[in-house]
Amino acid sequence: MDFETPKENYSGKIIEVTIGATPEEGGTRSHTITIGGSTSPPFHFFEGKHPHPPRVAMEVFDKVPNKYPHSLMEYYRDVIEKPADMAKKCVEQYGAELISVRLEGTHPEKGNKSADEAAGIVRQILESVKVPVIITGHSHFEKINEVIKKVCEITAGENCLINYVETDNYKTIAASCIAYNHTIVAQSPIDVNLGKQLNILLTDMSFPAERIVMDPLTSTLGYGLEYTYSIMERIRNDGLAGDKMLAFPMLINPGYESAVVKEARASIEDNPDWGDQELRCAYWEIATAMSLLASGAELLIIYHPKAVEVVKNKISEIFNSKKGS
Amino acid sequence: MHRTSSQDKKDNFEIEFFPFEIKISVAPGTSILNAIKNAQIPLKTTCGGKGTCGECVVQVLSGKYKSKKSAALAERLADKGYALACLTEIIDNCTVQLPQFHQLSISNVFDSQFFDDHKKDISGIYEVKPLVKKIDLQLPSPSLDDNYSDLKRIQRELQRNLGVDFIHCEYSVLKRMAYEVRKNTGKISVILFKSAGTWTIIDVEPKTGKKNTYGLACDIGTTSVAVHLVDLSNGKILNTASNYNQQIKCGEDIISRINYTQRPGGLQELHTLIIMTINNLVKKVTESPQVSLSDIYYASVSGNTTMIHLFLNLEPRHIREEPYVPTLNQAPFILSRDLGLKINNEGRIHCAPSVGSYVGGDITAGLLCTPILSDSERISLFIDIGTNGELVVGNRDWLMTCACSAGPAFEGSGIKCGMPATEGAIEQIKIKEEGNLEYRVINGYRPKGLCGSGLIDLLAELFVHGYIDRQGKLILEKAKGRIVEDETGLGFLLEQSQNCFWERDLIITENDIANLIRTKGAVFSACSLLLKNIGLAFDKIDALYIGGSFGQNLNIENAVRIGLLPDLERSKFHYLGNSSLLGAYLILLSDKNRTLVNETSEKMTYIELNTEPSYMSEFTGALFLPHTDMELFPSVKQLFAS
Amino acid sequence: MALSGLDIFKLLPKTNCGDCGVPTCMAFALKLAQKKAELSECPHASEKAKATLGAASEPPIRLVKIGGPPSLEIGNETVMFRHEKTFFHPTGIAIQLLCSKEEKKLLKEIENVESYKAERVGEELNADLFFISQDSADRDSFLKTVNITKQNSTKGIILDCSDTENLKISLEVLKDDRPAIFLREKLTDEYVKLAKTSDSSLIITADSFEDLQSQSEYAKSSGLNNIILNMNSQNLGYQLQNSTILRRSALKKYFKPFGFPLFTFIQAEDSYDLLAKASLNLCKYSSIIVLPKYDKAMLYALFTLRQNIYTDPQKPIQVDPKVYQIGEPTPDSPVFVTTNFSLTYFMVSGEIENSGISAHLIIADAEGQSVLTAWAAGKFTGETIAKFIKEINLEQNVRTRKIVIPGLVAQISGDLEEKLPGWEVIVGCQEASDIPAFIKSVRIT
Repeated sequence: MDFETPKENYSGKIIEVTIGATPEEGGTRSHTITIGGSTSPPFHFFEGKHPHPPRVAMEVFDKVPNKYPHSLMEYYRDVIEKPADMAKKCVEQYGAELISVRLEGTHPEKGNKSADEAAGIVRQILESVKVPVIITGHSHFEKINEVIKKVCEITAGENCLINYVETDNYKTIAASCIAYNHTIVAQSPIDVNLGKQLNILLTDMSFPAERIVMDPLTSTLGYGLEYTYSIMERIRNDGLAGDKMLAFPMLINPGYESAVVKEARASIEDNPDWGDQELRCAYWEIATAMSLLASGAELLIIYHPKAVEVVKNKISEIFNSKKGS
Repeated sequence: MHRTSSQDKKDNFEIEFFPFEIKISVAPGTSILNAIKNAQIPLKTTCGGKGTCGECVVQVLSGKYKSKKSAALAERLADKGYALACLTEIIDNCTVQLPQFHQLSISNVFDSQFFDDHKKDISGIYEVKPLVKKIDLQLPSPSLDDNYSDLKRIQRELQRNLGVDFIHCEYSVLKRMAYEVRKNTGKISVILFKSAGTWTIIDVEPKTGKKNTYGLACDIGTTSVAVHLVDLSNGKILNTASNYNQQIKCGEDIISRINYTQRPGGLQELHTLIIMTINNLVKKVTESPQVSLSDIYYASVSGNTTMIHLFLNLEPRHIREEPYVPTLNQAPFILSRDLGLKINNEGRIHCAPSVGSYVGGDITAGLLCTPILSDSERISLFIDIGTNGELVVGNRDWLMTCACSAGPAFEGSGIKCGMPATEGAIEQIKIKEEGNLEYRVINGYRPKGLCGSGLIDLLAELFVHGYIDRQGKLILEKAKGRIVEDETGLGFLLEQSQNCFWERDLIITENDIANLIRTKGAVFSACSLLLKNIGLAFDKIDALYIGGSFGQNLNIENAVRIGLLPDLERSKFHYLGNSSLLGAYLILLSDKNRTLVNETSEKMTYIELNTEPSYMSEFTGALFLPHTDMELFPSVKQLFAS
Repeated sequence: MALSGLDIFKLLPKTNCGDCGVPTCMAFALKLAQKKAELSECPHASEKAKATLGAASEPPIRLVKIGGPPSLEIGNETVMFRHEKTFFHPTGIAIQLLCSKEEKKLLKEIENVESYKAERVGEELNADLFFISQDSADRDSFLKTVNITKQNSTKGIILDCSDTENLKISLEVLKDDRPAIFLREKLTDEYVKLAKTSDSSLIITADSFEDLQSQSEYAKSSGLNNIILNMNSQNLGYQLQNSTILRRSALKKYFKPFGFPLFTFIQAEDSYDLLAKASLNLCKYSSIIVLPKYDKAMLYALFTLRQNIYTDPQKPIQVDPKVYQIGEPTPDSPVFVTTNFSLTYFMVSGEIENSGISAHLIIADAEGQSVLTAWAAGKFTGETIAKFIKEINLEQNVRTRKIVIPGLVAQISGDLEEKLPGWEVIVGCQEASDIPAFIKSVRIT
């Protein structure tokens, strides 16, 4: 029996989603970023097209998170309180391809910043960096609906990625995104069906499919990573098999999710066999990011500069193999 | 003209009350309410006869009457012969229907069109050969030459009659034998019961003309209980009654009931409640035609495993705990007096056998009403939708079964506007183009609520006409005019208070819709898991039988549209009605059915969904209209495309 | 080819005799389909059934053992994606030892691995193998390293040595140790003989699929069964695609020459790079990964990933039943209780943390089931929770007498109050994500 490369037929194609808008397109970004478009499983160049590599974003904050790991602080101490400067540093020094601004400070329990304050911060960031921007919210629906509405308005035309809506609050935010031309993240709790349901609800309200990114909810390494991993594989397989309501690019958050676990913070003295804490903090993000890249992640929000560097480097290494196939 | 009944009886009028069939004579001008009181019918009214509460509403079926108008009764109903008893005078011989009582007696619902049409095709045999036999004997008078004992003389006659060697006799019969034998000079009726191939005398009485033996078929559901009274001489169903299972107050689902038994005295309480429920129903069905409780000798009971355990007063806790082992699957014959069931003291009770902890006798009995057990070619799916949904797939060679906790929504429980399929229940509903609702109420009465079939219609109509989105949330722009809000959230107004029996707005809330979607989701996901387990696709199913107490007219199309039933060719669907009760009836009539059902229960393979890892995923997939995967419902997909 | 339960049922006698220990033929067929039973348990199976099922039950990827006892077992995988069933045999992690290093350093490296002691969810994490490379021309140093390793470790050994004479002597040293031989060059008769006489596994290396096939067929025809496949590539993209093609050939095409476990040697610039490459290879089908470098923190992350990926998705991970401290709780901090299903624990603990309060989280033993499942099965009831709370002496360790139960099991609140005199039971929210809002809106202390 002669060997023959076993290729599979995938009838589906992951939808191409573009984030950001250049001045010609009505925004102020120097360039846009497109993800999606693959016609085979992650990095299977031998049996499909992968026009766009996965992209790495970094995150800045309107309010310094309580649990920001000590070893990350070393990199950002000078800018952590100044999100526009931090964004600049992330892009220029650490190679962030997009900037996410997390508006946790607008949460009524965590600072209760006003929608206008949030809009001001977003505006500063749009001025300080020219890469596409992600606006990341929180789970206090009432407040975040108000904040996002305002932010959508003042960033009209920028095609920001509005992160995120859930089944219980999608309508208001989705309507703002339609009105002001933004892209949306549809988040659902580690379940193929719940994810698909939200996508159906969004498209049923005439939300354009090419402006939806899915967030299957990231569980970090050691904290349920395997659930996220398998749900993403199932979503991607179904999407490639022709299920249009699952054929969306996926966003994951290794940074945020890894920063809060004890592995990113506990010292080596407490756990000698866990190894060096500074390294571990980056490793946790790397292992999470690399495994989820294998299961279909296309947009990754990473915190540790070292992890950003390595993950970006690996993505381009993998894409180098594209030529030969 | 003023007369008293004693003065001139001729001018009095006769009034007959249904469903009681009680007839009394009253003076002209008597209010129907007073007549009801005279007849000692315990009708309750809140206003005490002032014509404001509307609870004493009656329907005059024949005869003239004079009625005052009341805001508590809609005019269109008055036109149909409805009247408030307190405001209505009798001026003729009348027959009057009492809806408040009729509500519980739901005999009309149990007619199974499928059973009537397919008596010959189903696996159960339709023959009248019950285990109870009544034999009339003329005993030769004893003499000094023929001085055999009473018992021996009866046995001798019976041996001749039945062609058997040995006949048992119950002690309680012996106690009365000498008296009964001599009362009518040796003319006696002997009632025998056959078990394990042996006949036992369970009653002896002096022969008194035409008197039959009776049996009961009884379906003990988690939410409702139904009883047929059956004439064992000809198999005729004489009467049917149904009511809520009184255990409901101790918990709605099986698990809660099992939990309840773990309290001190809990098991005894639940046992007493179910016996009370059945005794009340037996009392009701024996009122008309009048049948003496002591002439009921045999009861065939079906129910899920837990209900049978509670009925028999057996410890049910191990049903719930791994490895899910019940006390018994096949119960021996039980004596009625051991349970306190008010039929003949020596009455025998048979319980349809269970397969496992969550697949009970309701499903094995139900299988008798389908052709599945005799069909070796085709593969059929049988779904019994009760509080506990149970499913069987297979044919004569193999049967796989599983259960799911569906919840009582389709039986009308746990839904604000839900009710059993009894009078006053909306059983069909349609939304017209202009947004008006058109519905049909069982027995054409003012609506009290919706039964299962009505709820299925409503959900489908709301969905198809765009009043709710695919997760069952109301679409405010579309439903504007009918949106109501209370402390539990949003609701959709079905009918305004003045048109409803209870004078409350009839509303389906978003919570109710979510509840219905959960129920249909549980049933559908159990179906798809069961089939996946054996590697069978839905299109391999040749026939699908549906049992349940939805009501007379289950709209299959709508059941598919909401994703309760799989999207198969419509000709494959057969709605059985209450198949558990029908099965119990078939077992009552023929011992062959009893043997068949016992054999069947042993060859069924039970799958525990509790331990199926993909259950949750299947379930969440089904929590959408009709399903997250629209491809599973091509006909619905097409409907929305066009 | 995997047969469905119904396919198998059709091959069985259909008598429901129960002689196999299962009540019905259909139940037995399902067990066979799930590979939870063997056809030999049915005394009445026909020849046809045996032939058909026998062919279907042959593993498409061979199980290979290295080292031991207990040996590292790899291969015997049946699916491309873990959610389809599970990945059975976790990737073996090998640490490279270079024999050019001085003895002291080698001893230190072996000691590092041997003394490594980390635990996660009840599993001890550690490397499985040493990969000994002859990196100097000095023959003796290789033998010495093999000896040192054998004396100081019980782990399996992979020999990376191009000097066949040296290899032969080493294999004699390891004659009872089931080693593996890593070939940098094409398989020859000499290696076949060495592997056969020493009962070693053979890691064959090729630059193309065709070459790999021909070597694999050659090994097989020479009577070797314990083969491991290595495609020569250091590009991560090729590694992933090659491994996918090999695994898919074996599982989907039943391509026998590739029906063996896969091997990857990772070359990397630094530990970050190493971890990134190893992580991807671990997810995508490597059964042995060799790391040229030892780094505790990197290993800990990699072991954790291995545990995650190789968890049986059908058997949820359990966390230890005990009281978990969220934040820095005092005896007056609130008490929450839930089951020990890992995802439940992660979500609940995460959300309590998100809410910013400190609390005692009681994880009760519910055999790893989620809240509703455990409740339905009687494993998470007023009685079991009360019993657990007494066992852990909670009443001595906290002053509060309020306990929050999951909203999904509101039914048990009465029962729990009965079984826990003096406690007030508060019914919490149904979804973990609502915990922060719940904590704000309800007085729980």
